[in-house]
Order: sequence, then C-alpha cells, then structure tokens
Amino acid sequence: MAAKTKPNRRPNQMTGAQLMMRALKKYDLTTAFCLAGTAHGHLLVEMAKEKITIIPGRNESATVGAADGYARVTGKLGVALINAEHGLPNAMTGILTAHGACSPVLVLLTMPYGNRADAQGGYPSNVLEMVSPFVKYCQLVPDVDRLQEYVEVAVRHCTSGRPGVAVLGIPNGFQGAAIEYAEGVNPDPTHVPQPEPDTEAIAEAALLLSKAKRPLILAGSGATLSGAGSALKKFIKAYNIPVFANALGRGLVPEDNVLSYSWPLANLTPAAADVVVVLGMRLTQRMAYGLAPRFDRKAKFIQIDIEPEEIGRNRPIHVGVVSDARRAVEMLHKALRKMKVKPKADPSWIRKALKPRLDRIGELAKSPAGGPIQPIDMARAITAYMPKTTIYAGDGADTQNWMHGFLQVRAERSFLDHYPVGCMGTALPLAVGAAAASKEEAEKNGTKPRPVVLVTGDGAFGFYCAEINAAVMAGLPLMVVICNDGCWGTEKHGQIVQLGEVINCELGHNDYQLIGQAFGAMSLKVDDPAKLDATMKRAYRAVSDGPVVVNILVDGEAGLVRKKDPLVQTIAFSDLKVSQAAQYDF
Amino acid sequence: MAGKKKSQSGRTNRRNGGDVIAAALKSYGVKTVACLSGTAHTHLLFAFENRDMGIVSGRHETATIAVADGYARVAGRLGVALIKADQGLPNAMSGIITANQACTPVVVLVSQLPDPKREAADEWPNDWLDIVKPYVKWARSVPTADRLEEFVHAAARQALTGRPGVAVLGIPQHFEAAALDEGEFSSPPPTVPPAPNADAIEQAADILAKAKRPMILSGTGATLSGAGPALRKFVKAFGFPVLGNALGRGHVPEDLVHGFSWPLAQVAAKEADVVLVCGMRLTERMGYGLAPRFSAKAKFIQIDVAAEEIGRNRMVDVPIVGDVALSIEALHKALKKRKVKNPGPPAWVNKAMKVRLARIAELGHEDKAPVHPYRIARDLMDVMPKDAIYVGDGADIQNWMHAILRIRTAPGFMDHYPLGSMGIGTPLAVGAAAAARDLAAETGTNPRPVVLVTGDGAFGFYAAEFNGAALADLKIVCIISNDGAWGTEKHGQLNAVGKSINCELGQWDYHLIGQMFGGRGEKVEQPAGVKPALKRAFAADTFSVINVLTDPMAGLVRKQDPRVQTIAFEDLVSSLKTHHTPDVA
Repeated sequence: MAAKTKPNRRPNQMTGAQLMMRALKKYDLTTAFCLAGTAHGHLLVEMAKEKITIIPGRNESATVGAADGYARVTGKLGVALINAEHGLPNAMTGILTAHGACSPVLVLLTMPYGNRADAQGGYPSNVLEMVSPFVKYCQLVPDVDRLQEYVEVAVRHCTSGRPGVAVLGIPNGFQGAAIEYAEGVNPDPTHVPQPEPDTEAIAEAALLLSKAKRPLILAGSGATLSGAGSALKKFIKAYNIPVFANALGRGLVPEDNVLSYSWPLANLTPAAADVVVVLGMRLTQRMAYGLAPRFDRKAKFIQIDIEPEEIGRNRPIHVGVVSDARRAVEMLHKALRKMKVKPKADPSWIRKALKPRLDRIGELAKSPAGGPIQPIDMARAITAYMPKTTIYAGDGADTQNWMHGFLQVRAERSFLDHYPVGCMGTALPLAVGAAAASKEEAEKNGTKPRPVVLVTGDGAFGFYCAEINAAVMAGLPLMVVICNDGCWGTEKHGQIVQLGEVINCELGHNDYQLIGQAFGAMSLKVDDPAKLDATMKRAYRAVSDGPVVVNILVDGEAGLVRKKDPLVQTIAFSDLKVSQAAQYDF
Repeated sequence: MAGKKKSQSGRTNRRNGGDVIAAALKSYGVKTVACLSGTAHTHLLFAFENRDMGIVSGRHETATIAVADGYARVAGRLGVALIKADQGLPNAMSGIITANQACTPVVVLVSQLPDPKREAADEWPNDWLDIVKPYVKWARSVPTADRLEEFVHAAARQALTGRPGVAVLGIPQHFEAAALDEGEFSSPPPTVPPAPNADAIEQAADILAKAKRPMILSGTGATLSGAGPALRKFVKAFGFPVLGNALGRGHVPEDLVHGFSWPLAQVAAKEADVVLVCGMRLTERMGYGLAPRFSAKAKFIQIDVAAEEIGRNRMVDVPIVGDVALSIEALHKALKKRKVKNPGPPAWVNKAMKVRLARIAELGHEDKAPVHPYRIARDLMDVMPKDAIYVGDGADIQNWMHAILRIRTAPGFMDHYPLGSMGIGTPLAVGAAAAARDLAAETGTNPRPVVLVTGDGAFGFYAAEFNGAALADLKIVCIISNDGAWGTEKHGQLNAVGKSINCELGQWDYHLIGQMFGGRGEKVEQPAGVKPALKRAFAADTFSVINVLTDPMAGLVRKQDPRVQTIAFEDLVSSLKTHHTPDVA
C-alpha cells in the first residue's frame, strides 16, 4: 500500500510527525488530548491537517486522564501528548490510573535527548525510568526513521491482551526531522484473534453451573473490554442467573433489568451464592478478595480472564478459564444448552437480602425542610432525572458511597470512576474525555450528545478543577456536580469514629460554582432541599449545550452514619480486617 | 553534645508513635508542617497540635510538599510534609522533585498500608517508595515502631546536611498509634559544615587579587549556608559585583550598584575575567558557565559543599569544597592579607547592561488596555515593601518580571526552577507565608509580605491551594498575568511556524477563585488600575488574587529580541560536548 501522505520538501521525504500520523491513522484516530504544544508542534499540525480533534488539558495527569476516559467510552485507543521533563512527574497519577483501569492509552512523550542533556542532570538521563515499572510498555524511539514502527508496536501493546498504557519517548527534534522513506511500505497492523477458552475448562465450569442452586456472575471491566454484553444478556436470561457488575463492567446488562445489580449496592448479598463466575474482574479488596465474610467459604469459584496471572488472585479458584470473556460466555451457554440445564429459580434471595439496605437508604434520602441537604437525597435527585443513555463518572469517597445507593447504569461503557487506583479528582478529566467521546459520537450520528455527569466531592474537585477550561473550550456536554460537605468527609468521619475529634479535615463550604463561572460555564449553587430537584432538572436541560457546574451544599455531618451503619456502606472494607494469609487457609 | 530533654506529655498522657515523630521533628525548630487531610497520619497530627505546632492544609500532594518546600526556603529550617503512599506518592512526584532539585531540606512522611493489607498479586511494586527513590537523597521505611525516633533523625540529617534535599520516610500507618515505652526524646546531633582547603583559598585569592573584572555568582547554596553577612562584608571591602540567582538572590540588595540579578545582568557575564561561583550549579540557566555567556578565557573559582558539583559542564580553575560562608570568610582574610583595594562600584557591569536597560525602559508604558506585563512589574516595585518575599511562576511573565524586579532582602526570591514545573509557585507561596509568620512571631515583628506573580496557565495547576491559605489565615498577594494562553508556547509556535495550535486558553475570570475561598479577587483591565489594585492587596488583611488581563501578543517580542530575554537559552544551541572540548584542550 502506497503512502497517502503528501510528500514533504522532496518527493521521498516525510517528517517524523508525518510518519507518526501514518501509524496512528490505522487505529481510527479521531481525537487526541494534548497539553499546550510546542514540543509536539509538528505532530499537532499533522493532526490538524487530518481533522483530528485536539482537546486541551491543563495538567498532565488530566491530559492522560481525558485520553483514558475517551478510551473507556469509545473502546478505541486514547492518545495523550505531553512532555517529559516537567510533564511526566505530573502525569504519573493519570498514567497509573489508566493502567490500573486497563485502558488502552498511548502516551507520547517528547523528551530532551542527546546534546541538550546535562551529564549531571537533576534526574537520571532516561526519564522513562520513572514510569516504566507502572505500565505495559515503555520505550524510547532510537531513530527518526523508526517512529512509525515504534508507534505501531506501542499501540499493539496498549490494545492487545489485557489492555493498558504504553509510553513512547520521542526525542525532541524527531517530529520535525525529515527522512527518506520507502514507497509502498505501510502494511495494516496484524490482526490478532482473541484466545478461545479451553474446552475441558468450559466443560468443568458448565458442570459446576449445572449443579448450582444460586449461581452468581461478577462482571468486571474485562467483560466490557471484550464486548461481552449481548452474549451475557442472552446467557443470564436463558438461565436466570443474576449478575453483579463493577467498574467498567457496569451497564453491560442494564441495571434496571431484574437480574442486574451493581456490585456496590448488592455487595451485602453474595454470601448466599454457591457458585460464583468471575468474568474479567480482579478479586481485589473492592471485591472483598472473593473471600469470607463477603462470600461463602464453601462457594465454588469459576474465574474467566484473558490474563492467566490474574486467575487465583487472593483465593483458590476451582475452574480457571484463560480466555476472552465474550467467547467464554458464548461457549458456557452452548455447553449448558447441550447439557439441557434448566433455568435457575428466581434469584429472590438477592431482593430479600437487599431489602433492609434499600429501606434504610430510602429513609435517609430525605432532607429536613430548610436543609441541610442530605447527600443521599442529593443522590436521589441526581439520578431521578438522569437519561438512560447518560455516561456517569464518579469521584470522591463518601460521595460515591451515596451515589451507589441510587445509581443505575443502563448503557454499556457508561460508568467510569477513579478506581482501582482511587486517586482523588481523576474522574473530572475522565469525564472530559468521556464528553469528548459523546460529542464526537453525536456529531457523527447527527443526534444530541449523551450527557456526561460527573458527581464528585469538594475535596476531589480541587485537584483538576481547571479542566473545566478544556470542557468549555471544546463545548462538551459535561455536568459537574459537587457534593460539597465542606470537608474531606470520609477522613473526618473516620477520625470521629476512631478518636472522637477531628483534625485537618475541614475545608469550608466554598463556592466551587465560581470555578465554572470563571471559565464561562453555566454555574449553579443549591443549598435548599426545596430547590434541589428544580436545580437538577435545569442542569440536565442545559448540559447538551455545554458544561454545567452544580455546587450542592450538603450536610457536613451526614458522613458519620456511613461509618457506623453497614446497611449504607456500598463501599465497604472495614469488615475485611483479616489478612489474606489468615483467610487463605480454607 | 546533644542535650536531652524530657518527654512532653501527649494528649492522652502517654507516648505513641506520633508523639515520638513530632518531638523529634520539633527538635529541629520545625513550627509548622504541611499535611493533606488526615486519617493515615491522625495520631501524628494530634501530636503536632499538642506541641503547638501549626498545620497547613494541602489540597494536592505535590502542593503539600511544595508548602513544606516554601516554608523551608524562607525559614531556613526543615520543611515537613505529610502524605500517604498508595494514592499520594504518584501525585507528589512533581513536588518532591522540585524540592530536591532546589536543594530544600524537606522530610516527607509517607504513611503506608500495613503489611497484612498488601496483596501479593498487586499491580504495583510492593514498596511504593520505589517510585521516588531515584529522585531524592534518601528514602527508607521504618521497620518497627520502636525505631521511629532513630529513623526520623536519620531522615532529618539526610535532608539537612551536605547539600540539602528531600528525605522520604515511609511509616506503616499503625506505627503512629502504637504505644511505646516511656523514654527520653533526644535532640539532633550537631553538625559542623566543612571548611575550605587552605591551599585552594590561597590559589583563589591570588587569582582574585589580580582580577580586573571579577564577578561573584551567588546561588541557592550561598543562602543555605547563611553566607549573606560574609558576602556583604566581602563586597563592601573589595567592591565586587554579585549576581544572584534563585534562592541566592538579594544578599546584596539588587540596586544595580553591587547587587544584581543573574537574569537581568547575565549580559555582563562575558566581560568578567574571573568568576567566583558560590553555591550554584552551572546549568543551562547559567549558560553552563561557558561561552558565549562567559568569556572563554575567564578563570573560574567554584565553591560548593558538594564536591561532585564542582566542574559541572566546564573546567574549573580553582575548586573549593566547603561551606560558602566559611569559604568567603577565608577568602576575605586572604585578600586582606594581600592588601587588595576596593576599586569602587563595578561600572563595567552597568555598561554591559546599558543596551538592555535602555530597551526595557522603552517598553510597556501604554496607558490603554491591554496591560503590558512590564506595567505589573514596575507598579509592583513601587508598592512592594523592601523585605517582601517574591515567588515567581509561569514562563513569559517571569521573563518580564526579571527585567524590573529587584530583590532587596535574602531569602526573598523563590521560583519553580530548576525543575520548572508550572504552577508550583502557588503552594511555595503558601509555605513562604507560613514561615514568614513563624519567624515574625519569634521576633515579635510583622510578617514579611509574600507576593506571587504567576501566569494564567500556571495558576490552573494548584489554584485550590488558596483554600489552605484561607484555612491557615495566611496572607498572599497573588498577581496573575493573564494573557489567555500558554504564552511562551504560543509565541514559540508563531515564531517558528507562523501559527499557533492548542495554546489558547481564553482570558478567564481567575480572580473568582480568590473569592471562592473567602479571600479577595479583583480583575484589572486598564494599566492605570494595576497600582491601586496592588495597594489594596498589600493593605488587606487576607489573601488577594489580582487577575490582570495582559497583552496576549506581548510575548512575541520576547522570542525575537535578545535584549528583553532575561530567561535566555536560544543562543546556547551548540552542544555541551562542543563547548567542553576547546576548554579541555
């Protein structure tokens, strides 16, 4: 295939930036994220020629975070452009977050190299060392004429197997350098089919499931990354198996389906399950390690993951299946059909076990007349008017605990948060990237954009609040709701429970909506429960036209009940005190 | 020898890990620490409170480190920052590297998850300190609670001695609550800085005695060694010009008689025949100590407490490993012995600056909007008290400020260099204000005012730190030169390829962020409005964010006219190797 790019200077010359574009275009690149510009000036100019949308960032972690959010929502590669010397230390959080979330993100890092490097530099001269232990792939491009190859290899690492972050160091000067190139050498990337499950493993898993009385599927990000949605919906419908989803796995089966629950809401109930299928999910602390007390000690575990090393994390697994999640579900379905397995009984055990929690949440979702607004009432009002297609981004700590009580994710790739790394504030840039994806999709289809709703805490909002600037400049359909309890809530209430007093956790009920106003976004503040619903309605009406910032002043003391009452703990780990070593002894 | 003092009783009248850490840190004179939120360090925070130590609240880990950094730079004592490991250290990287490169003595206390909570299958290296180890002087974890005191002292010693820097101490979080045996808190061991080699001093004195146009470069190391009084005496006796950079500015007031700033006066460096480098790294910012910034024939004398620093990027004629203050005192004696005379003010420096100063004097006097950045600089110099502490951030705006800014008290200047991470000036200013208050309380005076001048791009990084300033009731005068763009990048692109891409930000209402946290915020659009706004800010009893809309196109001339380049490296394109070779030969 001949090169399509117009020759530069001489017929057989291309710049480094043009070579990079030649590679990137193969991956359907339509949007990239970049902080300012000169170090990547040549690449930005090439991107502009190709009508690539460039979304600006104001902090390197936010720039990488926006590429991450874009990748999570679109399923495409996210591309972030930053520089090394000042940028990489700032970007560490964004890079770890994306990699922890298995997001296919390519970070292009311009770096000083060669004659400009001080032999006694303040850092190791290879700044890539900082990030290499935390990503899938990290290389320095050794020569201009190998730029295309290195970009393609980096993308392959990001997008194959378990996806993650690839960092490519590009010496300053390479993008603008002109090189001779050979005509006709631009092959398409190798298509690598996903691995199929082992048939014996599927047979064993099917046998366990056929005997199960109360089977349960846990669906994680890996299920979404493999596109397992329709296979999963068919499977659970056929056999009446409930699914609890977490992280990007949420919404794969819409959570208004009677068989579908979010893990945070339903995490009180899995101890009743006798067979658990773990589908593309890490059995980390958030999942109670797959161990007692959250799960029954006698429960049998089937774990399906594309990454063999993941299987058996923190607990023994009865049947391990190394496979693409979608293919494994399809083959399990086939196997059960062949065995003529009957649908399981209605999983009423979940509803029964959840009832006290839902009742308690309902009780708390009322604010006293005149205020203060109870955060759980806020969660009710936010979700009450939320369109089905909404992309939800969650941040903060207590705030998410409350939101999980009401939130139902009803579309695929529509739930993003700062976990598993959990760095506060990172969901704002994720939401910016998600909104860029939403806007792009809407423009392509000629529809109204799906709203992106970020619900964050006041503490978390402080980290990357200048990213509202990017959202305004790019005209993104982003609503930022700040659950403003005037403190680092979960820390404050932790101190109260533990020691009876508070130190260094109060922040004040600040007027965070002014940040929206400062950047020209629509900005609302509400502290009266009577105006809460009207405010949310107004925000939902406005969001398709551009960013909206809503500062909701909530009760600063409301977080205390969360520390004390397990019924309202949708994010719960205080009962997981025992070390894995002690639990491991089955 | 180290004195011993009795245990101060904790809140519950018993000694826990937090008490041990707080008492050990207090023995270094630390009065204020920086901390983001709390629970992982709760017991330690209470121990600080029990000892009447202040806590400044951070909203980002890098900012929390930078508050401690700014505090240490102004107070001349240990800075202490409290963060956590798993979600905190990745955020803290820029702050840690900034402080370490600025040679600020900072101890970072990092709370870590207890071992039983660690997952064997964790994605990340088990030891979070790995992430930071290559970038700091020292990073260790405390192995058992009963060794806390020993490790805190080791960390403080690492941070404070030799060339100061950052020490990171990992503390399993349950250690701070651990009840420990009654014992006595020890004080830090005394350290004596190294004196210079006598032969080297004689050699240097011989060269200086014969010099026609000697020049002293005063860097951060001069300030860290407390060389101010010795340097002023030296200059008074022998009439040398002193060009200060970074924290080394202001020892000799920058009145352009004997005291100058490097950024402004660097055009005179090539006239010097002998250069005395005092506690300063010969990096790009200093033209590597090479031609064209310096004369290829100039003799170099370099004083540094870190032997490895001597000879960075160029050959040095007389290397002196030692404390800067002690070395200057020794040189003073040696010159006196040689009966070296004071030739009066070094007029050759001003002569070399003449073209630059004339060009600067021409620019930026417009009476109509948009405001030229020089207007901010000139009005600030009119209004700013002599003892003010100036904090610089951003890129273009610092270039403009350097033309007009005169530092008249040391330490009185700090910025984001040498790392140059945008935005970190905001938390540095918060820490500086906390230190100024502590120092004033000790002497019964009014705190020195703190001024932050930053760009709109830089301001976005850590704007929420004004919350910390508000909570700690600290006063800062913050001026944003708002050109609505990443100015230096935009004009770099315009200059290189004739157009700009992805550099526009819009001239937004950043002053609202001051108001948001309960401080003052005002917008200035007219040149005549700058000075009254500055006066109001200095007179106010709270912090102010003054959003000055500056000329979006002002930055272009900076890229094109070397006379106004106070931050200049375009002429240093030749490689270090090329530079280095002729000097060796």
